[in-house]
Amino acid sequence: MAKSNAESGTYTVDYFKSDTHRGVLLKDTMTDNIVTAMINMGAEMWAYRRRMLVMEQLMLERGGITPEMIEKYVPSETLMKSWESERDRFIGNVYDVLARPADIPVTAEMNYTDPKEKGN
Amino acid sequence: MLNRRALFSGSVATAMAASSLSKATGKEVPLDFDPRGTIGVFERLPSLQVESELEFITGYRSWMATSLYRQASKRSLDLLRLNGIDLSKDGDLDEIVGILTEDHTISMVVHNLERSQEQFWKLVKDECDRNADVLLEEMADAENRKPGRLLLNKDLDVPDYACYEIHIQPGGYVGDRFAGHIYFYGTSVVLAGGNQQDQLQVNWARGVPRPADGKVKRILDQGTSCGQFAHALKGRFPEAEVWGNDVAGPMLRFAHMNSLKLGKDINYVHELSEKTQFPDDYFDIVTSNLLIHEVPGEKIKEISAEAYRTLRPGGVYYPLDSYSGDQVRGTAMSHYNAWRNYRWNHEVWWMEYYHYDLAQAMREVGFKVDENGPKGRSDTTRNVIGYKV
Repeated sequence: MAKSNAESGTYTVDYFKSDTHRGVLLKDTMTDNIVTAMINMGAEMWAYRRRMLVMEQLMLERGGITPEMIEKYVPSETLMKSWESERDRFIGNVYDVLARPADIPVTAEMNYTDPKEKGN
Repeated sequence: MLNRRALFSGSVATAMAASSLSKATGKEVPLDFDPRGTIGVFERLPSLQVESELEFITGYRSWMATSLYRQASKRSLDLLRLNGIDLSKDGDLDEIVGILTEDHTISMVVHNLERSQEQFWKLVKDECDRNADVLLEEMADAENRKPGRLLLNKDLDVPDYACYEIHIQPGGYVGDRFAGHIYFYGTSVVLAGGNQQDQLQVNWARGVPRPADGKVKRILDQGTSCGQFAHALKGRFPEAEVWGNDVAGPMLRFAHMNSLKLGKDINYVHELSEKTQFPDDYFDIVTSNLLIHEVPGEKIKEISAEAYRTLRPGGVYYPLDSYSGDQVRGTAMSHYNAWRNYRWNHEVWWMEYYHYDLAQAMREVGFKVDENGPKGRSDTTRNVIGYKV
């Protein structure tokens, strides 16, 4: 039985960490990870397409910015640094999973990490 | 788009629209943090980026359901037939799992469900953590505000059975400070984006029968999590005093804050559904919404017994959930799907629930049971209802 962590005001408690992230659900770990990366890539791509759709709609409705201005825009050095940081977040979000270690076959019995052993 | 502040009573609106100094950072923070506004009752996530990514995953999972999943189901049946499995019976689970996990299309379904789910939980959790200062401040500020009360219990012993990462949600219901936010936004993806106005809960609440004498003064929603069903119950029975309880403090903190923003007068109490603070014969209706399958069998019975104790004679118990026990269509595929849900959606108690006779457990604690009650969830055609006579 776990006591609520009321001192921090969050009322959280220790929990049993699941092992699902270690599952090898496709042929092998790398195939599993590549397909996951494709899903994540799709989400990233759609987010950018979605933002673009908002921008194009606003341009149509309110004017002031043209597609040509966007094509020719040169960012400042500070802005470029900020965009690079955003690019790196994008890359991490899509490809970090390629490094995910996995070793549990799909038919394995369920297991947990006991918080008393590992701490969560 | 509708700003929910417009829905508040004047005093609450004025108070919530104000700012305060963050205890964590010393910076000014708004007490109602919704930088991108709301759509109806749904407060948008802080960034378009994450909202769009969730939108993609929602769409991807809908595509899976209509395309990939259909193909996998066909292949599953073909493979089982080819291996001499009787499709009309539960069959040997190890044998069925062994056959189906060898197939690439079926494996792809398991993989895509699991990994897309990991990703949407992560996206929401990361978004919450990025905005932690204001989100924590917002919840802390809401704690003592009305309408509705939030009764948290710092001494509550949370039982181990509630401390798993159900649905592979990071930290489960109890282990993450933003469990309520994560659950609320994550389940909007699971429900294919079709529940942002709590439409499902509103529909489910319509199925809750009144006691025979028609009187509904008090309602308890057991295991209310982030309070969506409690909201729907208040909408259906506006005259009633509505309570929601839960073992998860972080869920209740979110639930109370959300009720407050919506101007819903609902009380939340941090306790176990099998051991509540309420006196005998107190409620007219006790409900639960998808709580029962999240606890072990012996707890289902204890929870039912507590519902019986706290209901007044003539009161109604409406534990809304998927089919179990004899209600399940016991086929090889339903058995496999139950296993997949248990193993890879980390529904820790699902296999126990799959075989559990809920109606019988309710009879054993005293209820007169109707197994053909009004339709509940979309995947059921009827619901088990208990009457305290």
